[in-house]
Amino acid sequence: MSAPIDVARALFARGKSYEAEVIVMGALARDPSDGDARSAALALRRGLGLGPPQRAPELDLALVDAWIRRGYLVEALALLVAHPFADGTRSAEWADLLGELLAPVPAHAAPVFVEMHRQLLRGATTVAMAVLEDHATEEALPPWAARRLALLRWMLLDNAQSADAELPEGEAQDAGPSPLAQALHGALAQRSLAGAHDAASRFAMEHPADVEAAEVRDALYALVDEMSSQGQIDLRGAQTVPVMGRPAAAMQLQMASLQGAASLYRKLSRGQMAVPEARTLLAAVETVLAALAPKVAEKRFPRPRDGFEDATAPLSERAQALVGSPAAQRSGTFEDFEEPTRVADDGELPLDAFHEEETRVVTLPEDDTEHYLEQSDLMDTQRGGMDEAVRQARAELSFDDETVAGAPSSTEMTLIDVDVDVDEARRILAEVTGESVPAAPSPEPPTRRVVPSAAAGTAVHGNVKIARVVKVGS
Amino acid sequence: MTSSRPPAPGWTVPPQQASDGRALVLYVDVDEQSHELAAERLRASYRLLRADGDREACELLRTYERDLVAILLDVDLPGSVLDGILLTRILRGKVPSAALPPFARQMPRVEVPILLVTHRPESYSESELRKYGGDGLLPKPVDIGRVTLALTDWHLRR
Repeated sequence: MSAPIDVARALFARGKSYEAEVIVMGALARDPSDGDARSAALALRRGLGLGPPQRAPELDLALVDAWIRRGYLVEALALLVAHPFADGTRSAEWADLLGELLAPVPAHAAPVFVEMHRQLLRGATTVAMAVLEDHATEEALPPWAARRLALLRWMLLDNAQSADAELPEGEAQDAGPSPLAQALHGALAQRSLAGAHDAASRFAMEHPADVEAAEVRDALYALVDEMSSQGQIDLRGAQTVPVMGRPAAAMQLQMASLQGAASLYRKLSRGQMAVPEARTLLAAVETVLAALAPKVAEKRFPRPRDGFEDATAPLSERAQALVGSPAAQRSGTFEDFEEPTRVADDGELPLDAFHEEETRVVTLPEDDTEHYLEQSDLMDTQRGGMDEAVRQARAELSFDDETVAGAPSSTEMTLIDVDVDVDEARRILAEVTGESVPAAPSPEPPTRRVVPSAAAGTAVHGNVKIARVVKVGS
Repeated sequence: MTSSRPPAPGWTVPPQQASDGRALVLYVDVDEQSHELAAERLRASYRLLRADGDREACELLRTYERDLVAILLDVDLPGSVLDGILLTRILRGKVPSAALPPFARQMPRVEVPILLVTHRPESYSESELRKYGGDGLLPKPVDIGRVTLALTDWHLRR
């Protein structure tokens, strides 16, 4: 994911100085200790402008999406306004939603809404949502505030859940929540870890053999205990909201934002200032998250038909004799096989041979056409399993591959396709030889017709039939 | 509010009833179509109070100055004595009252952001407009993303 300052530099280079400046301001408001943002803001204030980024960022909707998930709402809005995206409809929709979400509150709004707006601008979206939710428990939110709460939930929770549920293509349709996850879903949807703990306890009692259910129950108990020990955080009218340390993580737990809590516990469990309990709590959160993650169903082969016996064919005597042979013992199994690896000599890699591929044109001599056609017929017959039909056709047309006896030589030829018109061929033969030709069953129509240049002999019809060419003098 | 006839001098616009709580914005523009587009695009978070000229803008400002979160001013304001830039300077207290027409005297000095809107943003220098007291320059028709971004910028700079 590209850093906002890099994107600001890229936008500045494209002449979008205003939006670049807003991105810098947004990054600085979100993290006043961000050195890059501070130096960029200082440069802008002095009129020096921003230099180009070291690496050109990819400006696409995926970046905007990632920023929104992380709470970089101001930066995301600035990027949407500044940069024309290919998916114009979607980017315009997101810009509208962010514009609605970040809009200033009414002039005489209660301090809690002012605080909510302040938290939004500094990137503390989760805190802003908590402020609204906490206020909603005391009194009904005005319509505009209720709408922003819904937008925040959509951006932070629904999108996060959908992102977590993303699976590689092809496996998604096999994914589905486990029964345990389904049991927890209701309570988590109501943001109640205590309710989730109750549900997990019931599930564990009903499924005593389910080890995962017991682990999730214990993990949820530890998290609920942590929430209680950190106390209920009162956000009413708070000008300073605790967003650091275990209280902040506990606040995430209060909202059942497990991803947020895991992120905070992960940070708390690192470094020299690590909180000892953070590692245990992180493990508990990850246990619950793992149970909630969609399970990929095992791919199974279809059930065998009824009456199917799974019988392995017995080995032949020769194969049985080989099984116990010393050669078989030496060869071992496939898994045991390891190909020895060594550095190849220069001469072993004739890479130059692959550089150019020579293609040579092979001219088919006309005189051999008959031969190749016969070869083709043979191959086609083998492929099609039609040798029986060919045999029958040959038997039906029991002619010699010679010029019909008695027929005068001629320079004119008449090619008769006996497959198409066997009767006609029979009539001509009878006329020329004076002998009657036995009747044959009418052949099937050819699938492909090849007219050879040969004057006499066997002609080939496609991949099925053998035809007969009769040379008839005029 | 949509009447093209300016209120009489000294006349005070009665407060609007039944606010739904959205942030109130004064939109000063003689162009009816621009106003309708702006009202439609901003209505998710903003309620527009429209003035179609300098005189009505001054009246509305006297009444609603404390309720506004922002002012959107057309730069040109055709048909008005004061254009958007001069009106901005007046609202920032940068013009002596004696030099103003009667309806523009004794105006409250507003602290909310003033965004100038125009069909020709390329014709104006944003830095110059900021010197006059403006807080941003937006192309018309305005949309909620740009307006909110400008107001966010204003909040972040405070």
